[in-house]
Amino acid sequence: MSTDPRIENFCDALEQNLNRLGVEQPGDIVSEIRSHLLAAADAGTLESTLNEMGSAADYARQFRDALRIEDAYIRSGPKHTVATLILLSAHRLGAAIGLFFTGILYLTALSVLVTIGFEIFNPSSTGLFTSTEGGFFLGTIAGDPSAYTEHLGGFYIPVAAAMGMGFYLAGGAIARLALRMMRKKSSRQT
Amino acid sequence: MIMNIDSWKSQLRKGAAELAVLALLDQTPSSGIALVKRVEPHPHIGLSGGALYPLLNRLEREGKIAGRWSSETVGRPEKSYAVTEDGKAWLAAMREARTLFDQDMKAILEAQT
Repeated sequence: MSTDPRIENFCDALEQNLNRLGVEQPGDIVSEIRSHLLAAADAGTLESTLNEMGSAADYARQFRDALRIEDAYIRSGPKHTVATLILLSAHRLGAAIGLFFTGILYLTALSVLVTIGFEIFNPSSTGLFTSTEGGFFLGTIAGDPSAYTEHLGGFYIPVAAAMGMGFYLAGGAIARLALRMMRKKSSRQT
Repeated sequence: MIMNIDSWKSQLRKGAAELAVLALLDQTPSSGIALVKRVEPHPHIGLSGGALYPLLNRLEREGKIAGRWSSETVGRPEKSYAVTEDGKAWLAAMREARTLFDQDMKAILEAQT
């Protein structure tokens, strides 16, 4: 059996990184990888096998990411989904893109819901307006409201609530889609 | 237009590795090392040794496969994996979906020629 020092170096670094990342049963994973590397060394393919795995830190991250993605996918709530996207966005483009669009939709939902409060306390300046130039505007007008035509009137609150909920659900769907794509990618071998 | 066939192949392999691993383990329970050897004659699947273990780890946590340590190889314990009942049901569903996909794809490609 080979005792190539690269095997122990890789396994030690892998165990440290798995522990640091909080991956369950790191010893089990390292034992299996060590067996694989020993077999590769015996077959004379250790160099290429280590190259396939990349750095121990990156390899450990593959286990951690697969665990996080799966956990968030099973729990399926927006809190876990968004938290997972935030954690993965530093090194996964799909997570960063998903988080970006989810963030925009969540902020839009929040801002629409905030206008409901303005509608309650200042109904004449809040609503869906069109200007004389033909533009439309949803929210609260700071200036003279008579320059605009309001369209929804008393229906603004239920419409805004529905819109806010719609943006919130769309944000959740985007986050879940990003998670699903990363889950598929974790099954993909290149 | 930039043509990147490797990128397209990579997309094509989405999900294929999971199906291949489950199908191979369903035929014969194997260790990771043995699986790499079994998949070697099929290079187009693109299942590398480095990517195999995170996949096995995930499938085991999902309950689709179950691993068991053995020390049949002297001085080198190996973890052997077998497909669970849940994994068999999942594999059957994947197999059916893949067959339908392949049938449709074949019909489209043959109609073109």
